[in-house]
Amino acid sequence: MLKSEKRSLFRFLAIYLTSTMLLFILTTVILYTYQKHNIIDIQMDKIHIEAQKISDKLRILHTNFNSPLLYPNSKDFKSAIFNINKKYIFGSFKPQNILWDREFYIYQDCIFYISTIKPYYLGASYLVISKKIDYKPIDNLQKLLLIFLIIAFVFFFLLGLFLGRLFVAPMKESMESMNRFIQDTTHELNTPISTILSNIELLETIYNCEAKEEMKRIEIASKTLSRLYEDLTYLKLNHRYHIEIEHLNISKLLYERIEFFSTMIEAKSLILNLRIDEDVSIDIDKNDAIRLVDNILSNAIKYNKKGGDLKIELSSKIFIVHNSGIGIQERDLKSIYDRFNRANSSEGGFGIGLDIIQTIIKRYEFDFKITSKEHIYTEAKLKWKR
Amino acid sequence: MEKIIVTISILTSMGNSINQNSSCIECHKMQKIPSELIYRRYLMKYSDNSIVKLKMFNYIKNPIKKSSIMPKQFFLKFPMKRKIDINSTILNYEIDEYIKKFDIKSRLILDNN
Repeated sequence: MLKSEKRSLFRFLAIYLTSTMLLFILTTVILYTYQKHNIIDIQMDKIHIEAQKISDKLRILHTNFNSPLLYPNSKDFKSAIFNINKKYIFGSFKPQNILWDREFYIYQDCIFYISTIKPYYLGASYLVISKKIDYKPIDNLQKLLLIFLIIAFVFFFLLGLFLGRLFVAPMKESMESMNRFIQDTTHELNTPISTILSNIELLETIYNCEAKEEMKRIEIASKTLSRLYEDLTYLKLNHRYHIEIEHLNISKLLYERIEFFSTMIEAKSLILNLRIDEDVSIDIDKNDAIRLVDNILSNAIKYNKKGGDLKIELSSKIFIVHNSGIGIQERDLKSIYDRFNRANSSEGGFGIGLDIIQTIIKRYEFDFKITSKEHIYTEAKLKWKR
Repeated sequence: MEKIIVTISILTSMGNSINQNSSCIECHKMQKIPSELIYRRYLMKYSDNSIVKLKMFNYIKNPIKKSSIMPKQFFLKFPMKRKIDINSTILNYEIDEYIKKFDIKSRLILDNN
């Protein structure tokens, strides 16, 4: 699966699952609140029934003149009777801070019910009954709803995945056809470029061609095409490309690449200033290193003034390429890593170079920074992770 | 029941002859008046002992139908109790003793079965 395809699928899933789950959570919360109230109401009804029973017993006790009078007692309920002035008479508990203005209330995990009695059997005007809230049904409800939410999440995740794949299928097809096109094009480009480059070399060495200036232009154009081919192949194969990390002599490689770009440097009459430490080595895949160096160098050459400076510095800690070029506008620096963004649209190239640089610095966790001042300079600074 | 009512009537009508030093309860006992039943009637109507006491006091001091705890039909058969000339302090004490004796608080226990 392509990176962009994954990103689209992930975004779709995130939006789909977030909205669906939010709706489900909201519904579950409403359902939970409603059911919890129902459970509490059932328990309140039980208290109400118990109050009726106690009232009946009080009526019987009132007409009983034997001693003692057995006040009804229950292990599930606690009750107490109060006179009209709310003074405690008797009970299986002595509640404090009673909320007399309420019929039902919950206090410290207990439901309280205040029932009025008339006539006042045994002088009782109020009957206060308390029952500990039975949390078991509420816990069961919570568990049930949690399981329901998990099942819903799994179901909608799978459904989302299926729908997501359907959603990205047209994009995938487009990407694949585009990739096929690039692959075919680059493949077709490879042979003529190689032919041109090898024949230029032949012309220069064997036939001593007189049109040297024109030959150089052909060579530069061919090398540019060759590099573009390499970049496209690299991007195309990026996710399937086998990386082979080796302890690479980056100083040697840098000299080789400068040599490769020498025709371009000469064509632009750039003043080359090299400060390259010998035998600087880092652990990197060779192809990655070539693509990284090539893209930094080619940009520094491409976006330089004719006859400008090109300073290249390499040490065991840092790699700096500084040019006296056209520079980059401040607003463009922010979007510089975008694949098809170019700092100056007047120059050629597909802008894929910066994308390749970004891919490689991310892979090796290098610290890469571009500083620039328009019309004065641009500096690419890369700190190796060692 | 009729016998009980008659006895109450006799008791209430002989207020003047009550010895101020004697106990109401003792006399009620002798007369076989169901004192506890009367107390329960008061309690069922007024709930609080302080109100019961006040109502008893007022009735004994000024016995009228309106302030009596007995039903109206009772007075169709029996005459109204006569006023008792009794010292208020003594009456208060006697009512307290009366209430104390029949107070349900001391009679109630929890049914542990």
